[in-house]
Amino acid sequence: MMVKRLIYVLTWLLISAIYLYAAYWLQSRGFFNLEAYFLEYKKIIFHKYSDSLVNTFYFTSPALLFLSSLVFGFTSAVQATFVVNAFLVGALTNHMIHKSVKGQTISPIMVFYLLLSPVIWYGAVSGGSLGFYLIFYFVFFRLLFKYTQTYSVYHLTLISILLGMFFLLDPKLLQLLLILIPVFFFVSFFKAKGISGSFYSRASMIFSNDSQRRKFFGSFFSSIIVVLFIPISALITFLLLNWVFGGSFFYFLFSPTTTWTAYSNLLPFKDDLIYILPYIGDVQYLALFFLLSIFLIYQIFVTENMTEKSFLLTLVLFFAFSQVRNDTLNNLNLNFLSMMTGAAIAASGTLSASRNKEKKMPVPFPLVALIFLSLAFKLLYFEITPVATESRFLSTFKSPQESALLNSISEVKEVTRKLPAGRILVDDAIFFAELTGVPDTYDWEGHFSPSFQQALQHPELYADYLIVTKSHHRLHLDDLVAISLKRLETMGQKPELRLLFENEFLEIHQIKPL
Amino acid sequence: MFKTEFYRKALFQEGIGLNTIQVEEIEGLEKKLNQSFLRIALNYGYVSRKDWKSTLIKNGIEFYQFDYSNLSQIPKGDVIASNLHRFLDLLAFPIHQDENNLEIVVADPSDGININFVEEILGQKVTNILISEDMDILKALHVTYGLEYLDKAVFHIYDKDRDVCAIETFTKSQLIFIGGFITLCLSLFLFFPVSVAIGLNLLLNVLLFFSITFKFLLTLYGSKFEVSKKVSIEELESISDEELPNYTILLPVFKESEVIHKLVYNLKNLDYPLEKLDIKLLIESDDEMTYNAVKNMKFPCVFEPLIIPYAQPKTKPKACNYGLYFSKGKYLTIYDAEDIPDNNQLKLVHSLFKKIPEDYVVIQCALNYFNKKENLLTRLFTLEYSYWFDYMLPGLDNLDVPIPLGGTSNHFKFDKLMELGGWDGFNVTEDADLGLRAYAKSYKVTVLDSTTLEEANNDFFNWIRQRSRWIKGYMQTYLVHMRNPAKLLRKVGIKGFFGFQFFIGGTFFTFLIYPVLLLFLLLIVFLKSQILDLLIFWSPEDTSNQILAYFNVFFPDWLVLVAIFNFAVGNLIMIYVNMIAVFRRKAYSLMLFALLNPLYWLMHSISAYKGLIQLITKPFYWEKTNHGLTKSTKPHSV
Repeated sequence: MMVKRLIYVLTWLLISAIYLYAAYWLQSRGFFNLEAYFLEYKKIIFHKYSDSLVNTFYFTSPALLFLSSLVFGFTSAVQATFVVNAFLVGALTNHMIHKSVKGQTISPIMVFYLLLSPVIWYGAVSGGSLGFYLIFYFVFFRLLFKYTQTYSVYHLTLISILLGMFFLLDPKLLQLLLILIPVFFFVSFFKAKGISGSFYSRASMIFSNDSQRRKFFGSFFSSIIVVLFIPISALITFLLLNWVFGGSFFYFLFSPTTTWTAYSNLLPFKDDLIYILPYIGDVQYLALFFLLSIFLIYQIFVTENMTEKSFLLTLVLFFAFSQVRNDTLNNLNLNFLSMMTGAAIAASGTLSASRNKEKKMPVPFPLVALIFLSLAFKLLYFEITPVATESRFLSTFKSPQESALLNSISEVKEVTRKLPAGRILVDDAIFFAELTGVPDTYDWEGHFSPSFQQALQHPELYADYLIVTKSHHRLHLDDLVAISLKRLETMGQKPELRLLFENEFLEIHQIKPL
Repeated sequence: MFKTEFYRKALFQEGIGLNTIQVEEIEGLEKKLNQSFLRIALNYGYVSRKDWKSTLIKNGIEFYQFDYSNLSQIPKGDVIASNLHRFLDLLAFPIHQDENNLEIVVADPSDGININFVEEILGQKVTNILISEDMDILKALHVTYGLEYLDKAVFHIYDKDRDVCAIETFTKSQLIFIGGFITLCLSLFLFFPVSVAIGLNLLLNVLLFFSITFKFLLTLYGSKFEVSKKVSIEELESISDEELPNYTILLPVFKESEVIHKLVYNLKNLDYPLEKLDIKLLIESDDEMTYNAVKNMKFPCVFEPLIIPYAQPKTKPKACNYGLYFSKGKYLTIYDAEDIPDNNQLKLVHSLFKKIPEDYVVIQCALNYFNKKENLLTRLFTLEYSYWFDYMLPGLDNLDVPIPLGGTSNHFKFDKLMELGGWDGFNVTEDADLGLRAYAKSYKVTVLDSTTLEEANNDFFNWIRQRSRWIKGYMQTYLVHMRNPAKLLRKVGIKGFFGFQFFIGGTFFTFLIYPVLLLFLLLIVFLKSQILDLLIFWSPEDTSNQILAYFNVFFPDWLVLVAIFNFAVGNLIMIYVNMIAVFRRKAYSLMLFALLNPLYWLMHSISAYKGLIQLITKPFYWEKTNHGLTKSTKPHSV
């Protein structure tokens, strides 16, 4: 037993190490992820100010990735979020491989799919939240399939815990309750005691008998309460902490420093608006949706005598489709669409209770063909996706990439190294990536500094340098430092500044002291 | 001798109305069980005591009235004491004896064989026979000749291993440790007030968090096994009556005359051959209420009354220990008088004992309530019991850590129970203590998915009394087993040790600490909400923030955050575990009542402080729980 466990852990570490090396290799070729920079920045200011511990800890989105990156920040070679993702997706792949080797439920072709799938690779090496999303969807659907087989409170509770925990990844995941409602309805229907027969005879018995009807609806609504309780509790606790430390229950919604996309102009899409526009239309996004859903569609038809599995997967498909239709641009990314991948992987390892677990799953030719087709479609997805990081992933794989932002980050790093250490006035909701490169000897007045507002009024009293956006920068109008300088200029109180450095995004000035 | 002859036929058939078949059945049992005819007739559901008494009165018999305060042993008392079981079977009490005379009191004037047996045992001819009720004779025998057993019932654990007896609440070393810890904290507080305040607050929060998290994980782990049945229907059906062993059921009662009738009904419903049941109703000798209720029962009962001689401490374990010495079963269980066990529970236990390894010596069945919807308190109580017995104990079982036994429905292997020395008469949660002692002896306890329905306490003050005893008992158990932590660790292993800390220690600790943290949290919320400034509207000062600033010195933001998180999460977890437990039992209408669990915890805290005070002032005092208060008569099936 111990040896098996040891082998399990070692293979997990090995797979994670491979993913980690791939992430390092990609970064060396110019791949970057703003989300990773944002969380890296949050880690830096975690202990910087007296109030920041609380604010940083609780109001960083996605909190789950941030909390994990605190644990995995043991190397400076790659950002902590890359390490987290490598371990997470490594765990998923390792689990499937071991299941397959043991001959339990997982077909070797599935392992092949996992090892080659661009979506899995992206999740493992991109340093964003996709690894978490994949794990979440996989576990969620795995538990749901189990629940439809056992009807046990145990699986229901685990689903609730999962939703409660991953609420810290994305509160929108609570929408999955829409999938659960029909499941609970049918589970309550089929687990009614003392009733058997066809669907219609069951229905007529339940709805014609007072006691059965009461039990049926009791079971249905109670199942919803059991699953919803932990996520809602997590939400209430979160809101309470917002109120105590932010002064408002919805502080996290208004704080400009919660997410890396806090400023509306900083969308995670490719810059060219014309490029994005077709995706907002009615038809084009279907292509992206289809490219990722083919494996799930196949799983719907591999029923293994489990109609509930097909039913659930169909629900997933409809749910994802309706969500993408509803909020096309925001949901047209891998984080959201990974639901289909996670559900399909979970479904592929789910067998009916009657099936002999020792018996290897047959590998039909259509499955092999579909696997390859699916992999090809996924590559195609990365070619045409409007999401900048996703697109950058494939292009960096193909050839080394140059990035103005990466250059800017390294330039700021170089400049600040040469300058005497001091205090910088900066809107860190914009320049979080650049600030990760600033030496430890520097401090800065940003959103988390208790004297940020005063520093904006009297920069010369609070800072030695300031970093400000260039006037043509997309976020120039959001840059609090730039706005403040203009206001001070209007009032004739602008401090005397000396330009030290500039590039296409920013300017670094030295503030002349009084 | 009798002035007139009495015949069995006249008394039992013509007087009471037994038919020939019944008489034959009784005679058959008489031989099989080696007990007197009357004893079988009274204790195996053939004759009611009331009818028997009326029949004797109709036949002109006058009853001898014992003066229990002046009863003394006859010169050959040592012979009776060593043959007490036989005399109890014969229902005969030698009241006077000298060289020429032997006067005895018997319950059945038609049973000449009994008298012969008495003569044989005492080696002397009976010269005079008096008649009394069987209960009176039993009482006379127990209070006069049961003292040796009584002494064992009270002091056996103490004599055997005084280290595990709760007779001493705090040992000297424990007092030194507690005193030293308090002195150290106070001294450090003088020099480093902020650090000590923060440290203590943090420590309490961390302990509360771990304690609640442990319970949650246990619940989750327990729920993992909810679908597995330990004994299948096929296994149960394959058991034949012949293979079933004798089974002792102990029924300790005290002033519970109201529930005696229900008790008989519930016992009769058990699916187990009656002749293999050895049911003992344990009545305290000074409990006239129950005593008279049994004497005057108008219908036949199925238990044997056993009168416990008076002695302190007057606790349930002492009564049960006394009952042990008169038990005849291979297995033994305890039920409360109002309990309604699943009718196949005894067979399930037998079947499970056959399946599991020999080192399993106790099987704990689930407890729940039949009057769960009677009022708010019974609803909350049901929520608690559901999660405790359906999830927590199975969780402990599957983790293989010590299981604190519940008060009833714990089924023992009788020989192993005797080996363990029975219950500690000085511990007011003797059941929890026994579970730990069994584990420390490398025996194991497991749980079974069979339910006994009890009467939930429906009265607030009664509930507080009961709960304060339970929590006091947990404190006693904790103190007893923590007299030598290293020894405990050696005996139960690291898993068992931490399980004990969190489950026994953590339980009373959380209840004690709960109101402190609640007050702290409410104060913070009160100040943060600036309500204080509204209340003192005439003051221009920002009073709330000033107080908060002062508070911040001792309770910095991060600590407040920890406390809020801890408290909110702790409460929500406890609400949730209650919810899922009743969900499993399909008691959907109770689920939302789980939201009131924080209130229920406050009630626990009141009980915990009461228990703590009692632990110091009167550690062995048994807070009596009144039963039979429910108005619910029809048990709801669960």
